[in-house]
Amino acid sequence: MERFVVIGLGRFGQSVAINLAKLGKSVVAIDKDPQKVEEIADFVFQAAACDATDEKNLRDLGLRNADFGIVSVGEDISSSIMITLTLKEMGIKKIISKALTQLQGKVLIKVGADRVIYPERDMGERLAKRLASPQLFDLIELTSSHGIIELLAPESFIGKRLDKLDLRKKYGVTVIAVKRNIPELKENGSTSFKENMILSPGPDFEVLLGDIMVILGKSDNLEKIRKVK
Amino acid sequence: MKDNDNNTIKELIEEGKFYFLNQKYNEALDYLLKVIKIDPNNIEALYTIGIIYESINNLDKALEYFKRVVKIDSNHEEAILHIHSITENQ
Repeated sequence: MERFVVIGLGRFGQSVAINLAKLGKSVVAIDKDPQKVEEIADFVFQAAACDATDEKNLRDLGLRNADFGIVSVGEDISSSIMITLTLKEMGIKKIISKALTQLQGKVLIKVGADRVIYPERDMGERLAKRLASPQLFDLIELTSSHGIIELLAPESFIGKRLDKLDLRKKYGVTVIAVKRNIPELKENGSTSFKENMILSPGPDFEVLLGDIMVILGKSDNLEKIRKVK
Repeated sequence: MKDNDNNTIKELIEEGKFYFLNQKYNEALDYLLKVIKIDPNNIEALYTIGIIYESINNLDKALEYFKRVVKIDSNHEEAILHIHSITENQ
């Protein structure tokens, strides 16, 4: 099983650690603050309160064979650099470090981070995109020129079959999946729904009100289809 | 409210749920909004309208109706859960 070590248990680190554990991964969670360690102890394989900038502490925890190291010590950039460097020297296979600014990110890459993440910047970007186009639910950039968007089915698509819409010809994009909520009645008589994912919908697939279409294509084509009403 | 109104409301809610279950969302909303005209505080209708809007991903409208439910019944756990899950993902 892949082993993860998460260092720094602020809100971000805590969320990463708990979610990895929920996904069945072996997680060691570390923070200087014993209270934070206590809060997470029931969720993860091992939780330890220690100073992670001291290599000896990390070695004592037997972390040499960990596959992933996630460094999320918050605003203390010098600790972040020290820990990233230490994990690299210990031979951790992949190190992901959190940064607040691009300059910090560059330094972290230099000392051995395999990937730098900017949670605050990314969240800000995501929120801005979502607010700017409410019908756009999500966006994944595959390359600088291609991506996948989740788009709420435009009104003009509703009740039409995919072969009639012919999105590949008209917009140069492909519908790879559709998320559709299926209504249901609960035992107590109240209404509810469950999420359903239809993968590679066929030509006779009919788009319904509320469908979220997962669409793959070139960024400029995705931009065009995003504007369809 | 008269007994007649109560019967009408019950029937309208049943119709609304029937159309919702058959994925006829606009028809379902028509019936339930008629209920709200007769009885603006009908929790079952308000909650069901919230569910319909959420299921068709009209999340702003869904929030509006779940909040109306909570305004009338501050302990309506299901409506509170829906408000939480919608706002968390927005």
